[in-house]
Amino acid sequence: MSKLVLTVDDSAAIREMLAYVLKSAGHRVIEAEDGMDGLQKALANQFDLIITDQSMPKMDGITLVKALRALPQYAAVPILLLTTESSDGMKDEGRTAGATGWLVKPFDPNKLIDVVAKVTR
Amino acid sequence: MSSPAAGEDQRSASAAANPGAELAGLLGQASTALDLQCRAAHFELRQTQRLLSDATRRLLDCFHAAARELAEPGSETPAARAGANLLAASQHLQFSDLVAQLLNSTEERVDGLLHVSERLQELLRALSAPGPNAGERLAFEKRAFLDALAELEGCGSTRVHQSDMTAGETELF
Repeated sequence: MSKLVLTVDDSAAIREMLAYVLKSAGHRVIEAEDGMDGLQKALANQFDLIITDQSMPKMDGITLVKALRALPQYAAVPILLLTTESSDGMKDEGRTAGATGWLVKPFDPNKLIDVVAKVTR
Repeated sequence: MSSPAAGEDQRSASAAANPGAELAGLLGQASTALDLQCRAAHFELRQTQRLLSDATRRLLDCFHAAARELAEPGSETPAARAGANLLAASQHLQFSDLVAQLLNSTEERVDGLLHVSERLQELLRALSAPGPNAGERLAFEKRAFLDALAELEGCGSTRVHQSDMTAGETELF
């Protein structure tokens, strides 16, 4: 079933690849280029899933997760962190902030589609 | 046991008594920092080369596979197979993000090295410049040099550990 997904990443290449993969699986995608832009777009729309990078200008991914979790409309919406970082410390920070999962770049497109299906069921 | 302030006084007194030893100490600090950062920059450039090479190979493989599928006569679902190759290419195209982060980190590191080099030159000029304010200028240049070294230690904060385009792990909490 088609979901509305917000993708947040300061890399245009990653945003374009995410959009390509998610659209190929039938989802609708809105892109944001940093955490602040992502938060504004999240307030203007009700997304079924948010996929965000960690290291970004203006607002990083974990801060975005915390800000979204403080909003009643995003308390239960799955949020995935997609990042180059794979340290246990950062993952713990993401988990504590309220992220649903942690994906390390580069992402496998088929695995991403499976994960999206699993968390949006 | 002597207090930290007393220790600092002793070091200052010793430096005043032996400016050559103090200069050698500062240059030693600079040399260690420069060596560390140059090695890190060298490693990042090698990592960047490996990522570029691996991604280019994988993208070319996807491109040729898609081209073969489209050219194959009598193929039942060439578009679907080409689509699968493009999907695979979407993994390898992510190299640009990894490489951009590495290049930013290396650029920051090289800027830090240049800044240290500039401060070191100013410090050496101050050491050899006589004049009524020579002491003040030397103290200023020493502080500026040590600040530049401290900045250098904090630069190059890349968290890119990948050296090839193998997909990263996925973990649901």
